[in-house]
Formats: sequence, C-alpha cells, structure tokens
Amino acid sequence: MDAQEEPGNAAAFSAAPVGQPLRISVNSQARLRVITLAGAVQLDQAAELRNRLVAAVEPHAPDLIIDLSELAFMGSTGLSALLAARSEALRHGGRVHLVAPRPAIAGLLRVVRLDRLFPIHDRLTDALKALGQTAE
Amino acid sequence: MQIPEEFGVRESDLVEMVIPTDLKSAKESEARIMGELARHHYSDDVTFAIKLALEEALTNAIKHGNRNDASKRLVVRYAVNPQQTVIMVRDEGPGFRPRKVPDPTADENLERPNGRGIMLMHAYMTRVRFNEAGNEVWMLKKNRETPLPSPPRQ
Repeated sequence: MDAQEEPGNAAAFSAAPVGQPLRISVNSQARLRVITLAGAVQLDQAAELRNRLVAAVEPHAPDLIIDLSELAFMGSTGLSALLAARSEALRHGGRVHLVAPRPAIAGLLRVVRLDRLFPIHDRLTDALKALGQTAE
Repeated sequence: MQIPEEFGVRESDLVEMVIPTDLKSAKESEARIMGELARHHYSDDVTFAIKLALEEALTNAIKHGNRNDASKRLVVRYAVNPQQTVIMVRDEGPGFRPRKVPDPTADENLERPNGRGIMLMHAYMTRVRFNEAGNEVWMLKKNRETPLPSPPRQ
C-alpha cells in the first residue's frame, strides 16, 4: 500500500455514513424515553451505547423507543446493546420498540431474527401509539 | 494456514498489520481497510458487509482469542481491489471449533447477548474459511456492484 494515500483514504471513509461516530440523543417523555441513534456504532462505542440504553430505562418509565432512522451501521456488539436494553426494560415491566431502521440495519435484524424480539415501526408516531403514548 | 486457493490472491498482494489486542488498534486497522474500499468506490451495501464481518472477526480475536491480553498481538492481512476484498485475522489464542458454536438464530438462543459473530461473517461475506485450530479466519467478499473507474495508483 502506498502510505501517502492513506490519509486521503481514511478521510474518505470517515466521511462515509458507516464511518461516522455514533451520536445518541434522549428525549424524555412522561412514561417513556425516545432514544435516537445516528451515525454508526463503531468498534469502541458499543459499551457506551449499552450503558446509555440501559440507563435510559427507569422504573417509572420503563418503555423505550429506539429511533434507528439515522443509524448507518451496527454490528453484533450493537445488537447486544439493544438486547441489554430490552432485558432491562423487561425487568421493569417495560418494552423496547424500534423505529425506521434503514434497509441495511433492517436486513441485519432479520438475518439474526431479532425482528422476532423487537417490534419495528415505520414511523415514530406508530411506535408511540403502540406503546399507548401520543407525541409530545 | 496458507491463503485459500479459491480466494485468488498471492502473498505479494497482501498488506499485513500486526496490532496490539485492543479496540483502539483494531479500529485503526479497520479504518485502513475501509479507506481502501472507499478508494475503490465500493458501494454502501458491500462496505457495510465487509465492515460488519471485519468487526466480528476482530472482536472475536480480541475477546475470545486473545482474551483481552495486552501482551498478545493480532495479525490482520488484507488485499483490496475493484473486484474483491480478502481479509485475514489471526489471534494467539488456542482457537475454537466454529461448527460447535450454537445457532444464534434458534428460538432458544435469540435472547443471548453474544454468539452472532461467526454466523454474521458467513451471512455477509462470499466465503469464510477457518484454519484447523480456529484462531485464523480468511474472508472473501466479491464486489458484485459494477465498480466505478479507480484512479491510477501513484
């Protein structure tokens, strides 16, 4: 490999959707939390994702909606984080629903059959309705 | 393990990286390979597949192979061209038997937090081969998309 090409190549990758760092935002509503994931779950970010998702489950608001519409990539460590959130939610009598995964992420969920464990909605309003909430 | 013959690469085609057993180093090695995919204008779908399989291989090697032992090293070898990508990941662990890994898509295993890496490598790559010991994996991905012209190498 030509070492002089590497910075440009790495920059091209960093600019690509799957090269973006993960961004997590939390919208707290009365009885649930809406977590929006954007960018890509990078190798060294899965632990942070897991911690943030699990921490978002609260005894008085155990339902989670995870909006995946801006997420370009995750691997099995990201899937493990979703499962950890689900486990925590179930422990408190809650549920975890997913919203609008991009085709690649939707395909990943189907391949590992986690679409059997996570209800998946096309729109946030559908997920809110399914969990007995209205948009705030 | 020798390069699988059906992968169609020679020793001289491969770039080798020897890295410490940590996620930061693994991420840097991944970025080099992903940069090569970008240089050859791989599609988003093929890039997703290769990144996924590479991360599963690296994660397995760090966590299960070298057991996060900082004194051990990983060897990553790769060759990227417009037609295909070949990647090898080797750890210093005792290895394992891939066929003994429980099917993560079986109903009774769906809620398990781990155990999907091997299955995902097979699902997303064109070919996957492990050595006898199970501590070295070779992966091939054909770039089925029509590649755009690649700039000439300097």
